[in-house]
Amino acid sequence: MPDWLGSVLAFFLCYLAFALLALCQQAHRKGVDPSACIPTAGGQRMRALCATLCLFTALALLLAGQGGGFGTVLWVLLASAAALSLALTLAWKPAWLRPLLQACCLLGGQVSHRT
Amino acid sequence: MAPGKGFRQSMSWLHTWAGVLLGSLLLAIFWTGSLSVFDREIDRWMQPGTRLAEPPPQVSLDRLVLPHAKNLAPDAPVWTINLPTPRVPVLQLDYEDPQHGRVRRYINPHTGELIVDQGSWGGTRFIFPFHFSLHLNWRSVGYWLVGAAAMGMLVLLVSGVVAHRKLIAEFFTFRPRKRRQRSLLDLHNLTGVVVLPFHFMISLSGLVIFCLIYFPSVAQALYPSDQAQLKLEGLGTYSRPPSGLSTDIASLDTMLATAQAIWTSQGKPGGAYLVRVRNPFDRNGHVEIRRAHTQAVTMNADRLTFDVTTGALLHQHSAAPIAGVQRFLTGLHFIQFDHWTLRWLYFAGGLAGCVLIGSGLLFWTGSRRARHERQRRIGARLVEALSVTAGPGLIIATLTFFVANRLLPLDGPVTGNQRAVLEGWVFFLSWLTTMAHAAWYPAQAWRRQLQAVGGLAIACVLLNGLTTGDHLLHSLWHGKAAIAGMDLMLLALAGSCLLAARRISLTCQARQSNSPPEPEAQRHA
Repeated sequence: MPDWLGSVLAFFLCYLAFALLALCQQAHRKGVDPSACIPTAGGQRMRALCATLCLFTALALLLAGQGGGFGTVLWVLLASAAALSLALTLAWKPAWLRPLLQACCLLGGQVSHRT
Repeated sequence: MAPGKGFRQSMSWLHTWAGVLLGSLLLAIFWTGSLSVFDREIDRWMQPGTRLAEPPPQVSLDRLVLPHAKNLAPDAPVWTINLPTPRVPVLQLDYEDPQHGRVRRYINPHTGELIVDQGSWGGTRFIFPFHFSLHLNWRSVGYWLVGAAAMGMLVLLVSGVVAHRKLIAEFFTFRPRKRRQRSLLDLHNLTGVVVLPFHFMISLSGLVIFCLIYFPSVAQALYPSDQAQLKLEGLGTYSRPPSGLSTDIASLDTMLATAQAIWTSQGKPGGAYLVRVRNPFDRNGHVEIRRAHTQAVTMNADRLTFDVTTGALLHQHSAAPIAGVQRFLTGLHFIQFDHWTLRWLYFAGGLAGCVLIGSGLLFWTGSRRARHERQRRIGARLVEALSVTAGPGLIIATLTFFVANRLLPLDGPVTGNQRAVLEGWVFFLSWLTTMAHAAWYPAQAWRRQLQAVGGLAIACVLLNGLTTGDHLLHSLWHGKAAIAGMDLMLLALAGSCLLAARRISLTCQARQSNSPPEPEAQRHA
C-alpha cells in the first residue's frame, strides 16, 4: 500500500474515532440531529470502544507502513488534523454526520424512544 | 488583576498575563516558523536562477565545484558544499569573503556553470534565522528572547489546559455564529486543545535545540578549558591547527565514495548531503562529510573526517545515546526529512498556532476595549496595536519582502549589488509602518491591513509571472511544484484575508445601522 494511501486511511479512521466520541456528547448529537435517539450507557461505551479501536488501528497502520519514527509523529499530527476537521464539520456542516449517528442508533443498541 | 485564590484562578491569571506579554512575539515566531517549513521553496521563488530541473543522482565535486571554489575563494579558511537535492536542485558553495562576509554561490549540477549571484537571502537566510534569532545577534539577544518565548509557550499551554473549565465537554466545540467573543474563545480553546501535542512538541524541541546557549554552565562544567573537545565529542567536529605548509586537495569524489561505502557497510541509509573543507591548501587541512537527514526523524550526527592531502580517514562520529535523544528532538523541529505529508501537517500546525495566539490576543482586547476607553487606559489599545503589527503587519512585511525581491534590480546602480540587504530593510521598514498605522488608526487597522495583505499577495503572484515568466499556469504545466505551490498559497492568503476584511466591513456596517441615531441637537452641534 502506498504511503499516501495509508495516511489518508489513518486520517479517516481518526476522523471516525473523533466523530464517534463527539456523538457521545448530547450537545453535538442535538447539533447533528435534534430528534436523534438517546443512547444507553452500553451504547455510549460501545462508541467509545469503537473510537479507541479506530485510533489504534490508525496507529498500527502508520507504524506498519512508515516505521516507528515517522509513523508515531504522523499519527499524532493526523489525529490533531482529524479532530480539528471534525470540529469544523460540527460547526458548519453537522448534517454530514447524520448517517453516522443514524447508524449508531441502529447498530449501537440504543433506546428506541426519541426526544 | 490579582492572581486569584484557587489553583485554577492562579493558572488563569498566569495564562492571561503571560499571553498578553509574549503573544505578539510568539505570533512572529510561529509565523516565520510556519514559513520556514517551506524555506527552500521560498528560495526557489525568490531566486529564479535556481529553478532548475531535478539534479542527477551523482555529481562530481572535483569537476563541478573545486574549480569554482579555487577561483572564488582561494584564501577562505572553510568551503562548505551542499549537494543538490530535489528541493534544492543546485550545488551550493558557501565561504567567507574578506570584503563581503559570508557568501553563497550556486552551481548548476548539470553543466557546472556558476549561476549569477541571486542577490537574495530568501527563506533560508532571512525568514528561517528570524524564526530563532529575530536577527538580533548582539550577545545572542534574539536567541534568548525566542528561548524565553518558547518557555513561555510551554507555560501558556499547561496553564491554559488547567484554566480551561470544560476541557472535555467542549473538546470539539466551535460556535462561529455566536457573538464574537464567544466564537473567539471557542477558536482559541479548539486550536489550543486539539493541536496541543504539536504546540507542546514544537516549543519543547525548539528549546532543546539551543540547550548549549540556554544552559552554557553545563558545557562549561564538563569541559572547563577545552571547547574543542566538547565539539569533537558532542558534535563530531574534528579540528587541528593549520601547519603552514601548502598542499593540494585530494579527490573529494573519492572521499564521498569512501564515506558512502562506510555508511552502507554500517547499514545506514542515505548518502552525504554536505562536504566541508577546512584549510583547503594546508597540509593539516581536513574534509568533513555529513550524512543526509532525509530518511529518519532523528537528525543523525554521522560525520566522517578525511585528510585533505591523502584522503585518509581521520575521524568517525555518531551521536551517543543521550545526544541521540537531543538529535531526535532536533529532527522533530527541523523537519529535514523527506516526508511531504508531515511537511504540510507541520505547516498547518504552525498556522493553527498563529490562530491560537491571535484569537487569544483578540479575545483579551475585545473584553477590555470598552472598559479601558471609559477609564482612559491605554492597555487594550496598546495590545491591539501590537497584535495587528504581529499579525497582518508581519504578513505585510513578509509580502513586501517578496515584492521588493521581484521589483528591485539584481545588480543595478541603485542597489550596488546589495539587493539582499535592501530586501531585509524593506521587510523591517514596512513592518514598522504597519505598527505606526495600527497605533494611529486603531479602528481601521485590522480591516485595512488585511486588505493590504490581499493586494500584496496578488501583486506577488503577478510580479512573479511578469518578471520570471513562470506564471501559475506555466509552473503547473511544467511541474515546477515549488513555484506553483508558493503562488497558490499566496492566492489562498489573498482570498482569506480579503474575505476576512469584507466580514469586518459588513459587521461594522451592521453595527452602525443597528446603533440608535444621534439626537438632532448633537448632530448639529
